[in-house]
Amino acid sequence: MKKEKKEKTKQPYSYFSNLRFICAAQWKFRKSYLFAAAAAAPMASVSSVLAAFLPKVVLDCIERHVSPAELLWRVGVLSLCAVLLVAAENLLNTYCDTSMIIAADSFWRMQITDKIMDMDYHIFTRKGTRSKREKAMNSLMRSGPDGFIRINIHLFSALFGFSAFTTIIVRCSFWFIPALIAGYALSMLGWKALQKFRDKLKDEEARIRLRMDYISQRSKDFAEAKDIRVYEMQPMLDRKAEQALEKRVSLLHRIHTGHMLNTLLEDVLTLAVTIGAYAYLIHLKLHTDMTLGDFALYLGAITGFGSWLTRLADAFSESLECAHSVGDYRSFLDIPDERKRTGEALPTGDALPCAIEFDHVTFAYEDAEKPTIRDFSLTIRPGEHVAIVGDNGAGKTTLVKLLCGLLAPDSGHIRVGGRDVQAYGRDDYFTLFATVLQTVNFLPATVAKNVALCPEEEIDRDRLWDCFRKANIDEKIASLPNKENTLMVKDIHEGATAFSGGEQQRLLLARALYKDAPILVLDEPTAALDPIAENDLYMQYNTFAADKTSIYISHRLSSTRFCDRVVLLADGTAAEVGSHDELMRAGGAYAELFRLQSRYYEKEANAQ
Amino acid sequence: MKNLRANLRVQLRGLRLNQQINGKWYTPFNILAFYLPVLANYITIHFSGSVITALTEGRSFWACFRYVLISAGLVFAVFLVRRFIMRATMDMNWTAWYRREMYMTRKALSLDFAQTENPEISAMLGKAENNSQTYNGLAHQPILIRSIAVSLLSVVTATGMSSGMLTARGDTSQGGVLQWVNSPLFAALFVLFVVLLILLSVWGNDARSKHRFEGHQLLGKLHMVRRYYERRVLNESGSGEDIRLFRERPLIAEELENGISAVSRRAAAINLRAGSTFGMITAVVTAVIGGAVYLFVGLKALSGAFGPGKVVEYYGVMTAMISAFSDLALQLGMMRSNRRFLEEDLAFFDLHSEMKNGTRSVEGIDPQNVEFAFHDVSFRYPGSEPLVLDHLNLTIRTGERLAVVGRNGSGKSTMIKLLCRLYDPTEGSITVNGVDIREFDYAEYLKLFGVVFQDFTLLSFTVAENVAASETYDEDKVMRCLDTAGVGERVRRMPKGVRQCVTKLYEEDGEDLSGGEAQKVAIARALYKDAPFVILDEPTAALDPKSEAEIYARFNDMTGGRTAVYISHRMSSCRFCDRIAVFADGKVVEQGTHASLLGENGAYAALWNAQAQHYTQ
Repeated sequence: MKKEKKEKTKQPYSYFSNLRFICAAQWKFRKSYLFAAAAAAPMASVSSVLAAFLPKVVLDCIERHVSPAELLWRVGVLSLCAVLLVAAENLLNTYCDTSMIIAADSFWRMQITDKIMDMDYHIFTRKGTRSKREKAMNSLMRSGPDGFIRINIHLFSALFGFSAFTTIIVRCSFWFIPALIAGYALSMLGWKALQKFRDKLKDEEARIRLRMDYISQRSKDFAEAKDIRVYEMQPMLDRKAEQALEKRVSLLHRIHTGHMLNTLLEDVLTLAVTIGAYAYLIHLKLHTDMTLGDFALYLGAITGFGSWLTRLADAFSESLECAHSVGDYRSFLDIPDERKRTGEALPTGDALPCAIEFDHVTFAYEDAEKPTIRDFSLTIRPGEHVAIVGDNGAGKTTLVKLLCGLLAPDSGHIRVGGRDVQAYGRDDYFTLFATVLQTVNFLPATVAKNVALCPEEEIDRDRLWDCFRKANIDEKIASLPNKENTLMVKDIHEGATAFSGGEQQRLLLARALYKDAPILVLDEPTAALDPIAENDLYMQYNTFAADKTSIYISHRLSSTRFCDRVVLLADGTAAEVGSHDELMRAGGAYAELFRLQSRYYEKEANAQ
Repeated sequence: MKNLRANLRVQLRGLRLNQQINGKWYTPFNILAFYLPVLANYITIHFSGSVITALTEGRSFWACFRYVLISAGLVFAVFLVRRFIMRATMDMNWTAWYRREMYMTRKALSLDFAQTENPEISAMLGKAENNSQTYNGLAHQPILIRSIAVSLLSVVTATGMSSGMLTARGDTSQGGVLQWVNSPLFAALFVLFVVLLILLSVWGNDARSKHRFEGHQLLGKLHMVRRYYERRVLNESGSGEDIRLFRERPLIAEELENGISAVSRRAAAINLRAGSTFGMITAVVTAVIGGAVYLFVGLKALSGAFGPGKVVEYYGVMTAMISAFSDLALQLGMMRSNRRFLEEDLAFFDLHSEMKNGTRSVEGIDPQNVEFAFHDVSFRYPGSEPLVLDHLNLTIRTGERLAVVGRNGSGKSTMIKLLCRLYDPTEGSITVNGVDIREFDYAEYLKLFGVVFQDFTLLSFTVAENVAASETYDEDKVMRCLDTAGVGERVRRMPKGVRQCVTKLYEEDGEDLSGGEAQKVAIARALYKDAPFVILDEPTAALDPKSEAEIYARFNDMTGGRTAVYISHRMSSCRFCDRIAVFADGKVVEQGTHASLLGENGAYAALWNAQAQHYTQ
């Protein structure tokens, strides 16, 4: 009832195919859970039926004036059964609960994680994939795949209890069943109306929630701490939070009024059923030979029937909801990849370093109005060092992603080592590149693992330190208490070391050097470095890029001086290509840009 | 005993804090809203007993049915009250999370900047946040108090209703077992049996809740690791490229296995052990007592102590009482284990700003004549060894444009933090026109600056609110500042102009700004303050050459006649400043004009040449 109505999309999976999928996977992961769940199924309903019969037995005994021994015997046996059932039920439920959590954390979630890391990059970054991934993640939050077996057990158990109680009531009078169901349906109408009302307010509710979340996150995530304090924005934040809260309270009050009216309606209906049941049963008791025990049994069954109805209806809607969650989960896992996993052998030996050829490459992101890369052609000779420059948004990073095989051109070809990129196996091809990209997200693991990016035992320590030295971060690492085994990411590990922006860039460089691949790609690797560190990198560049084909992207036009050739990217196409000197002589856009940046450095420069 | 008192003290402080957060009616309303249905249940039980008694006495239909009507009337009255109270309670409960969040937000905002950079304090906040998310500590306390109070009330009510059960005596002339059933000894034994079982269940629940804390701590860590991976590594803005290009999949799988799966299995093992042993105790105890009660009242009824009506009533009352007892045991155990979470929360809420605030106002200071001076200032970050600033001496004079350059880690940005009093010097002092800055009222002191930090941030509110740093603003002035910063046209093109929100995080129709545009809005914010002093820290690091050139060209307009400090790794910026201070190892090692410093051929020349050589032919 409380469940929010979701925009349901049609899914290709039937309820039973979902059940089969979940059971098969669970069978592979951990069989015992399936057995425990099956055993737990009838327990809850059997023990509540037992509880309904207990008062009848006692009352009958008293009415018939049985001997104390007989009372002891009858009540004793029933109670013992109840105790055993309760014990078994408890044990099985605890076991099922823990199994569910283990499966959720160690199995179901890992499948998603693995898919995220393994699927084709261009598919992963598509908008449609994003929403599918979010839905799959949400399905885990709502106990979709891990809870599906459980919910089916609940459904079964509710069905059993419902039938048992129906059987008891029918023995007394059939007419109570339709009356009870009608009452239930009436109250459901009330809840449906409330749900409709809530749906109407949903957008506004979400908006308010978004705002509250934003304010509380900003205030507690200390990234904004400086600006907030120096500009004294605390009162503004506080007032905005207050306003959002007020709105939420008034919204909730309306919903809760609806809730109150509904529950009052339910109260009245419940009381009406109870009064009716009493009237009928008192009448029967007075005019037939019904025993007191039966009186209590029927009374309990009729007044308890409502809760079974609710349980059954809830379990039914929850199981549908859950099946939908499972469908969301499977939809993500079932997204097909497009790139081939195996292909031609990579260039080795004499074929290294490799040549790179862009042949009329065009690429547009989905929903983009115009292509980011437009008819781009460029041939990079084996071992050549190329600098790519251009404005923010000119398409430099996209070009790199195309080259590395993360994205595929819409038209045109990219050839590496003479073969079309698509001819190579996807993951093999990645081994050709060592990159320093702009997004930095270190893993909450040791420095060594973050640089070598392989499991502990495979790390080559000598090579690691060699790369630290080349990237000029060796002294810093040596000064840390645990050296290269120091943990990173302070949010996760207390006592982890925080590296400055410049140090992070050096670590990324060390990582690229450790990989030692034939093609080196650096995207803005010096933005956070001081002039001397920047210069050091320039000076060393030719050493660590020796025998490699390399691409260097930067806003700092100085970087073009140690590259063989410069490509000025404008609007996704190669506006100018040539060596620095050639381009300067040509006096085009590059020369203009270079003058813009260099004029302050010239000896007789006028500062204004 | 001492432990108990300490626990009580923590609980009371938590209760007080909760009352501050949620208002004084929060707890009483909650208790009432949840006790009333319990009361209604007892009413129903009592009158169903009466009906059966009337039936066994062979009374007429109406004599029996009368009780049904009385019961229904009473129950309806109770429900009516309950539903109204419930609505108010739900209003409070459904916003409790937000109120707590707001309270925490306020606390976080009240901390000094130095505190926000203190890892210990971040950890405290992290724990308090985690507790709030997982409903522990402060968040859990009201629910525990409510349940305990309701259980206690329920036990009291039940005791009152069932007192007759023990004392009622039947026909004492019968022989054998039935006579013994009526003896006080039998009643005493029965009570002892029940009490022992209840104690067993209390013990079991207590032991269980201890395990629960253990498991919970493991899970807290697990959630943290998972959140990090899911938000920073595994989503679209994470490391998708790196994961593929560097084949991080096996490594990450291994890390997740160790950091999540293994921890989850350990926590599950603890819960399984605790649940299957201690949890079962409660369930079994409840079932055993249920059987015992039936035997007891059944035997007494057989002996004629009371009729079947009372059997039904006593059984109903006792069942409710036992469930109240086992609930009570469970909640008390939880309350004890919740103490540790509560202490974590209280530790955070006990934090207070440590900055000593002065009283002086800046009114006496002539904006045309402001001179800042660092006198032998040394500084080390709290809890760390090396000096970041080492006997720094620097004077910033009115109207001048000062460029600050130096290598990474030479103390440039730290100097700015000290100047803004985000930290106080470890040694030495900073003065304004000869007055120690610690003597000023902080809010007053801040009026002297407009700062654009290296890692500046805009909030997702409207452009105008960002520029004015307030909800009230002078729209013309906002526009003027935006124009001066060079982003006026861009803002005018927005559908709502200065009322357009920045990014879509707060308002769905917000507009995203590029890095350069955001930087200019941040500059406009610094200008809006009309402060005599403007500080720009690395404003062009992320900009392409065109945007960089634009900022340089506008630098004079932007700063006007103000005193300006410009920090940058782009040495070119030194050309339009009057004076340059070169930082190295926390000191100013060289000062002068571009020409004079180049002539000295020292640290400045080294920095300059490192960059300039690539630009000069």
